[in-house]
Amino acid sequence: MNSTTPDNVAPQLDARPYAWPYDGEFSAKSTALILIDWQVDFCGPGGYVDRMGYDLSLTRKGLEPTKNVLEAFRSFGGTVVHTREGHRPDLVDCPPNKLWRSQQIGAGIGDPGPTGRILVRGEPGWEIVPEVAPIDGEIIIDKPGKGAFYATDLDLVLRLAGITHVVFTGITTDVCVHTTMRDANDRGYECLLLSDCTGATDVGNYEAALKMVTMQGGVFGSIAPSEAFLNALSQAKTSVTS
Amino acid sequence: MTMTRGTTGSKGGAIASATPYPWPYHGSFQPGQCALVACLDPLWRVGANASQEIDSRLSAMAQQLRQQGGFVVAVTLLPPRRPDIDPSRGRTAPSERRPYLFESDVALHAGGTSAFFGSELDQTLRRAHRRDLVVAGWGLEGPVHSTLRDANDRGYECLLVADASTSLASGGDQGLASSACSMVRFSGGIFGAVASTAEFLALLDNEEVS
Repeated sequence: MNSTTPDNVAPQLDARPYAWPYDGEFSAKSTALILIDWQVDFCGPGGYVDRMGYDLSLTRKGLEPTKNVLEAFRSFGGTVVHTREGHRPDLVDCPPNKLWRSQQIGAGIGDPGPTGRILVRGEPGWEIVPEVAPIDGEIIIDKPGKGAFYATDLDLVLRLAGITHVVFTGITTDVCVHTTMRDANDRGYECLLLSDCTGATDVGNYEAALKMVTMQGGVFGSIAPSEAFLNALSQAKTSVTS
Repeated sequence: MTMTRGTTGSKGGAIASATPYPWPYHGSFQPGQCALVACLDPLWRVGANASQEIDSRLSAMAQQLRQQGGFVVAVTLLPPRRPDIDPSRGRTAPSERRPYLFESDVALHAGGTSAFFGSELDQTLRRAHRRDLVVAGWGLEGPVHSTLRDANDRGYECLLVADASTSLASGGDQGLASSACSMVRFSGGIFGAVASTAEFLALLDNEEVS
């Protein structure tokens, strides 16, 4: 790390079950905002979640707060990472049981639909929705599974960027967000989940997923509303270390 | 509790009453392709709060699966670490485990809340040609769930046995335990299926007599 480059440092914020981060403050150089699977397939009409018959308003609920957080975090100067779940067009990276389950529920992976082939890379349904779309210079991770660390280069990318702290938004809370947060925590990243910047196909599972993070003094990290995170970002100070 | 026999057939079968779908999805269960992944705490227990019932359910699954050619992996996992809260985390060698619950084919350490992180679990299961996994043990909402999630992403066909797992929720919050099962059942079984110990043992019984 270049010791003469200025860095933006934000103070610890109110979070549950402990003020985040545990080590006092977080900096633009060492913090990543990870936006999980804000794809048409999970929150847009005609996509995978819609085809399964779930209420889209539940997964779209966190979109507006996430947009605000993304804008503030870009100004802060932190590393932004977007993830996308999807498979190769020939589905050679799709486990047969995953394919079978999706067909059983009427939303077969690879089947044609209003937004193209379900959960297939390159299709309209696989794209990130415009509200939080990546801009030039932001990192995009394509993943075949629920967790963003499995069969991807996410860990390598974060380490090379000097990231030690990770803030999560995205969908769905209990599936892809939780799996990735658990795996990030196992890898030693200090994790925060923004409670209003995430949603699930079921309200009970959303609430339980948040509560699980707070078990045992913060078994997977901490949770906070985006307001607390934005407040911390607004107090960021520029520092030049030597 | 309803004991449900596996579907009939000279070989194979499934737990018809598993939710949200009969497990395993391919309908041809074979002990020789199945492994029990038993999540254990750093002292090789099913957790400090494990009841005798939970201990005996896990032991029964391990014993009967092994008798029929199944494979049992015991994995100890580490609690969360943060220097301010937990400056040193000790762990015990397999030979020091107590109480001795059941025989396993392989005993491993993992480096976090997922049995796949920092362990040889994936390689071990692949070398043993296991495609169907039964996951239970310490921490239904913690290690058991993290392990189930990571196994599912790796293509294993997973069964969560909740009544052979301890809950991490303080004060016995049954809500979180049932949510942990609900999460598995959503979207057509996004991480696999859920069944009871009795249902899994019945599947093994069926296999034995067929």
